[in-house]
Amino acid sequence: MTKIFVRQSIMFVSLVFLQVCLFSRIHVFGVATPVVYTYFLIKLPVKLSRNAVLFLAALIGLSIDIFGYTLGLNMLATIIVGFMRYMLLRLFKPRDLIDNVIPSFGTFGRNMFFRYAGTVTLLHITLLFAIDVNAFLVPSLFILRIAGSFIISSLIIYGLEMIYSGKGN
Amino acid sequence: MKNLIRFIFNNFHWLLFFALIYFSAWLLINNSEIQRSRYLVISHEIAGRMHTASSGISSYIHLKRDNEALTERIAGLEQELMLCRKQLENINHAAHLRDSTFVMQPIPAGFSSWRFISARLVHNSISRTENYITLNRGTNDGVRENMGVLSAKGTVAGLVMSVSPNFSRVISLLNPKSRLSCKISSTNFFGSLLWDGKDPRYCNLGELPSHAVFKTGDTIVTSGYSATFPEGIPVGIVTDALEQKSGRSNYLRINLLTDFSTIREVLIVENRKRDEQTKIEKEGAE
Repeated sequence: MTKIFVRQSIMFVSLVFLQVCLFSRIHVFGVATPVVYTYFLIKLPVKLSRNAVLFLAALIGLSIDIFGYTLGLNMLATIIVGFMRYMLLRLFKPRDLIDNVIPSFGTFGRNMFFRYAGTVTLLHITLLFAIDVNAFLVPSLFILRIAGSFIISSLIIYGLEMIYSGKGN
Repeated sequence: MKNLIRFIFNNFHWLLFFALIYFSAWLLINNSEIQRSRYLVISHEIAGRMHTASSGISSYIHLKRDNEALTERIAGLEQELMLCRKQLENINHAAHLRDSTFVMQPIPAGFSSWRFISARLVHNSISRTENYITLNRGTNDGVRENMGVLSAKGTVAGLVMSVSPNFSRVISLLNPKSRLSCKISSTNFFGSLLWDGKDPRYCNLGELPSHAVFKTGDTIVTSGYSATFPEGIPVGIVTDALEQKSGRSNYLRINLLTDFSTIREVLIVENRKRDEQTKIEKEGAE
């Protein structure tokens, strides 16, 4: 339990730092920005209470907002993702799971983890861009941004997961 | 009663969810007012410090290119200085020849009402619909609200919106909330510059009179009406005239001279006579 707590805390701090100082500054072709801190929400233990997930989701969103000068934006998106995570987990987690495991290649299987992480990332990115009120003014740009950011973010998240599970073995 | 308590306890996550949603939506909606508030000064300072550390690394990486840009700028200024010297010499010479009683008035020390403060970017965004810049200068360095910000090349970049002791937040030109009074440098017709939220390289110049004369390639400069920027600071180049529904083409597409994706060093412009000008403008309006 303590091990999980320490690991999640380290992940929290490093993901916020990476997101604010590195990934938020990347704009591939002016449209695609990696949103990688979603990985923290993906990797929360499966049976963590819904209240705790909501609270942690709000906390990481607020941290990104304070350092990125976007008060409320990321927080609103992560709260909704944190709330929906429960339903997504019911869809994607293997039925024979008994322990309070952390979603990963090992526990979910490569295929299911891809789907689960992909859905969470897509939901998060869509929300992030949709909350921006003026986003719908240019629908083509809106869709291009979501698609571009989703592709680049999920690639990085899968990369992180490969490093993570490689280290675990 | 027991059942009620159990019901609330079992569905507490719904309550928490809506409370958190309400809080974050409140933050989001009141964003610009909170940005100015005292509470955020602390978070400005913390975020500013963190970004200073990371921008230290990136500014080292871009050292070579920045140096080249600075040298180029120095060369330009040197040339201008030479020109000014020559002109001064000519004036002196002419005065000397024509009128032996002519005395050159010494230029008073406070002649120029404009002062420049150099600053470095610690945070910048170009991909959002409302973009802001953070600079590493604040009230301790003499920065106040509503000062203008120029890029190192001497082109317009934005306007200071809020200031903390060591950092300042700037509304970038790439923000629909920023409106800049500009004119076409060759014909002096003026309008206001607005960003449409699409391409960080282009802005639109609107509110131009329908009889305004222009051609593509004309330079757009600041009008000097706003007390924020001196007159004649280059802003962009006319690339296209956009047709309006009414048929009058008084909307121009402007290619911005400031490249917001690579901007690193800036100058904050202080107008020492600003208070005087705004005061008399206010009195006139009353």
